[in-house]
Amino acid sequence: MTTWKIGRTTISLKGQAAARPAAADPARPAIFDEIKAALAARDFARAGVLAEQALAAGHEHPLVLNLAALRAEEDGRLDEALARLRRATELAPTDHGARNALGLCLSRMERHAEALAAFDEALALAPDFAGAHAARGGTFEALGRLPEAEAAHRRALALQPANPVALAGLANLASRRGAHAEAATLAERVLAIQPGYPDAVRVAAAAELAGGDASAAQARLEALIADPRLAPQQLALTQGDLGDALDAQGRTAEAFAAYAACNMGQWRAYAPSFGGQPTALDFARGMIARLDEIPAQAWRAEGRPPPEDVKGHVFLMGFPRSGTTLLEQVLGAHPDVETLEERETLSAALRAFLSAPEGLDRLAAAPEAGLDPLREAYWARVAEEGGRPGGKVFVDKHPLNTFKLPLIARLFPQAKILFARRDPRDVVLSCYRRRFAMSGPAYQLLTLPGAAGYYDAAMTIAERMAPALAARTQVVGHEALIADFDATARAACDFLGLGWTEALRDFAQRVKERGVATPSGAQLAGGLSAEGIGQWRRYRTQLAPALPRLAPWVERFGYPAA
Amino acid sequence: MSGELAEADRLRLDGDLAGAALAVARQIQASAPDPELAAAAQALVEGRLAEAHGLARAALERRPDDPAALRLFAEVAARAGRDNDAEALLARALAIAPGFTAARFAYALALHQQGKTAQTIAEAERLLRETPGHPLYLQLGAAARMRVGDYAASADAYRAVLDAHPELALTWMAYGHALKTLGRQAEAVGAYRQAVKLRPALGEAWWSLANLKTVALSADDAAAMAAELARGDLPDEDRFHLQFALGKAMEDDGRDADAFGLYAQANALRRKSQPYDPWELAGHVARCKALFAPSFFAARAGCGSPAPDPIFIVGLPRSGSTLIEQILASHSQVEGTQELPDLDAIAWRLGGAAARPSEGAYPDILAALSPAEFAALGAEYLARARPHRKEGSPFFIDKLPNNFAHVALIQLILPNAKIIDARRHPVACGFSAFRQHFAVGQAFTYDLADLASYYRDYAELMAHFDAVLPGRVHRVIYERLVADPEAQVRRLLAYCGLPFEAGCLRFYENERAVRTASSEQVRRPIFTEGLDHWRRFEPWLGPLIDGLGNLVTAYPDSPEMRQ
Repeated sequence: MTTWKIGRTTISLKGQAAARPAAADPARPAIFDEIKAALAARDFARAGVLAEQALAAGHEHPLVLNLAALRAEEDGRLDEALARLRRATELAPTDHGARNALGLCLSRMERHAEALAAFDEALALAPDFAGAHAARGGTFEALGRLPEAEAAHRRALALQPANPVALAGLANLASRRGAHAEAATLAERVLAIQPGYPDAVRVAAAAELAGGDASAAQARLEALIADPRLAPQQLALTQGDLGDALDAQGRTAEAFAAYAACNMGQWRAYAPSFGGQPTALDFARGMIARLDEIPAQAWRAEGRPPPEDVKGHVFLMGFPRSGTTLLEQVLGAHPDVETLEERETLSAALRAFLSAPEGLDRLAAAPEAGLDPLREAYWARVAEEGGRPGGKVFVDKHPLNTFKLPLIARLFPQAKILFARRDPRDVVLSCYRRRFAMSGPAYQLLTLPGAAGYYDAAMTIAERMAPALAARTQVVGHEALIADFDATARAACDFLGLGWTEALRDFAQRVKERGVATPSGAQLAGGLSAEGIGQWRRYRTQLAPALPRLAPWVERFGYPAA
Repeated sequence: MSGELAEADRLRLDGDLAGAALAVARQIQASAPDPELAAAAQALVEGRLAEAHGLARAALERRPDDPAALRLFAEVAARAGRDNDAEALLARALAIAPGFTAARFAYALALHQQGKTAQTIAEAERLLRETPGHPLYLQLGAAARMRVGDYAASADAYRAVLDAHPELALTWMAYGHALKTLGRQAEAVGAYRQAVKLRPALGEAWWSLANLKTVALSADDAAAMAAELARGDLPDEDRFHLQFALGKAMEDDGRDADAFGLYAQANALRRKSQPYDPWELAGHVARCKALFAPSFFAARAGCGSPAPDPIFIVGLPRSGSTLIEQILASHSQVEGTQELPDLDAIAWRLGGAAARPSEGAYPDILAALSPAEFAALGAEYLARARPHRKEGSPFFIDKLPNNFAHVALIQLILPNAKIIDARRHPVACGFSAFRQHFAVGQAFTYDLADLASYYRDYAELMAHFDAVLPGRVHRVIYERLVADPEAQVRRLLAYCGLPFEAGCLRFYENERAVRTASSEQVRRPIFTEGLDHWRRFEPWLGPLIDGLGNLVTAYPDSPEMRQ
């Protein structure tokens, strides 16, 4: 088996014996011998160059395509790599190595659903291919499907006990649910096999940080940052981790510079996908411009109740880092509640009405009868995403649902709305400091003006929709929940028609057991903490670019001015 | 010299660009080899751009190598403002038909529009070899040469056009600009006067006369300008120029209330087409203060290109930067260039070319650049500046005032470049900018309150860098320079690491061309009578003085401004 490392992933060409072209083609071109020789000498760079030459000369062959794809991938020509790998799988439909390589390329392009399909195909051909199991685990993690991620990594390790991808994947999952000791042990195993393995270094540093040794974490992260082999995304994330290590030492100016390096590294890496116009912020502003023109009564709708067996339907929203995950975990600890975490359940309705801001006009005027298929699509999507709302109060949590309030107003006039609110300055600072899975909205959070502008847009939309929705909305203050958990949680339960239960206090245990896919996981596993309250004061100077935009909301929500 | 001019050429020479474009379309239409192209040209003539685009594209798809079809499609692209597309299409047409003169001229224009000056000049020269003395080609070449500072050649070319076509008012004005920059002031005045004689409503020519600052406008001039201003059909462009110019005439005549009224009208009119958001700078300053701590620069020490060549003179316009430039450029080791747009262009690109720069990635992006990237950016700046360096001096000056916003960028990409902050009393500076018409890029000067907040933000940012990088920026206080030139010039040269040269004190003997608003003032010895000039206008400067607050009393120090 031929394996080597590109960036953060290891590529395997199991079953792609270099000698095969010779056997398949007696009149093989001389260049195939050269490729073979290069592979035998483990000179993969040369093999890649030769493969591209062979391709250019018209010698199409699965191995040649695979090597040429690798070369393209290393150059960042991902579309070209993908086309070559697709061709390789056409030529050799039973070659699991080519399918696996295709999946890895798709992962790198963050096309996770397609990557998952490719890994599934590879494993259908070769069920014991440990590398594909591990890669599949990484894909599940990227998709926020943590239990499946863990299972895939464990399967990989059962087949190949020292698979570093799977070990690092498990370490990462443990770290995300706050099990730092377990995570550190796994990470050290990876580092013993592959010193400097980026994910493992980050996990080990996170454990040190959690254990109070911020300077050790800092040293470890700085060494990783100095490694020239680090891929741009990985470098950016590591700089963000370094920001946390500096923050823990009270070195806020340096921490802020590290966060900026992290965010701007991501900003550059993802510019091709999310840097174009219109941005998510432009889109939100376009929505506000439309909402200003549509009379508020257009959103006072009457419509079909949820399916009979669903006892209640709740949309939980706010803004990223405003406490939605905490609230979801708390409510999810209630025996009569089913929650779904950050899934795009409204995708059919979004496609129908919100592919452009002007769609709001159509939505406001849409005849009631035409909306039923979208409601059905919603509940079908909930089921597909693993939601089991039958017999429960169903809480659909997504912090960005705020931007979908007009859809929610029209489609689900009986649903209740829980709005998580936190000091806008803490929210925006935290958005700037945390590392989210990249998306159009997350891209806006990479600069302070962008984050503040996006926050302002979300709150403006909520305010425009308030006349129609206030009666079925409850605001839950994050600070209040921390200060008086029982009273605040009880009030939320009352609003949802749920009885109070002490089980809600045990939400942290649930986080530890199940993990949380958003950046809040490790924090929540520690239980309630007032640590995040008023953090912005430590970063007052750094937050200045955002403050004018936030000031009106600070005042309106009654937070202290200074 | 060619005889009769084509309609399009005449219109273009006369500054009627829309009319010229229409005439070109008509020409194409008349000469179109087939009905398909003719239909596309017809749509272009009638201003139906989308339809013209579709038809021209269809024609080109059928005949991708037809120069006429390529040229037509290029014309459509140029009208839509896509000059880069027009350039590519015309390059292809010319590769097929190198003798296609109309296409070559369109090509040169597309290059000029994109600021590709060296190429524009080369194409204009080629056109002139084919048709010697053609006024349009001469004029295009002259305009391009102005951009690279080849004013003498530019003036000669304009002169040649005017010898054959003395009726062209706009060309007289352009000729005046070239002469003025060359220091041939009397001839410049003559050229501007000829322009306004031919076209009395040509506000820019009147303003150019007033802007010489050393020419007193007569009562007759004032009457002529007032008569034009009384017309109801005067375009805004001419109106505000005339208001600024007549304001200057009134001020010279001691009629301060009338003068200020005209300045206020001119600025209000200008503001209509030049919106300004004070947060664009305030937000940038806040972001700089957030990011650029001493540790930020310490962690990036040794980055960038080590070249010591550039001397950046930054600050607000009308703060004495032209004087400082002239002093430094009189040193044997230093040459002046222009207000170069390149640093700003680099910053804008780094920020992701955002529609609102305040929401882009600059300056935060500087946190994510590698040492190699800083070095490459420094090298890029030097390469972009190179065509402007004509004397081969070891040091050169870039005096774009707005570069004060880029101190961090300079420090990171050109750590050995010098940065000089030209500072002048805030009310004097603000009022001086208010009565000045800037051709481009100074939208904050059209409102007194905006001027105040701009000055505050600038002073705050510079104070931050003084604290973070002590001594990095050398400040020249204009009033001190005027009061004691030798002491201040010695300090300035010492900061630049240059030996003292007496020639720097006789800067007004320097022959070099100067293009900024202050140019005529620096051709004379330092004069001090203007320092308190603004006090005459104090009754009307309330929004400026109030907005500046404690900056006025603390000057020349920076008070603690915020928090």
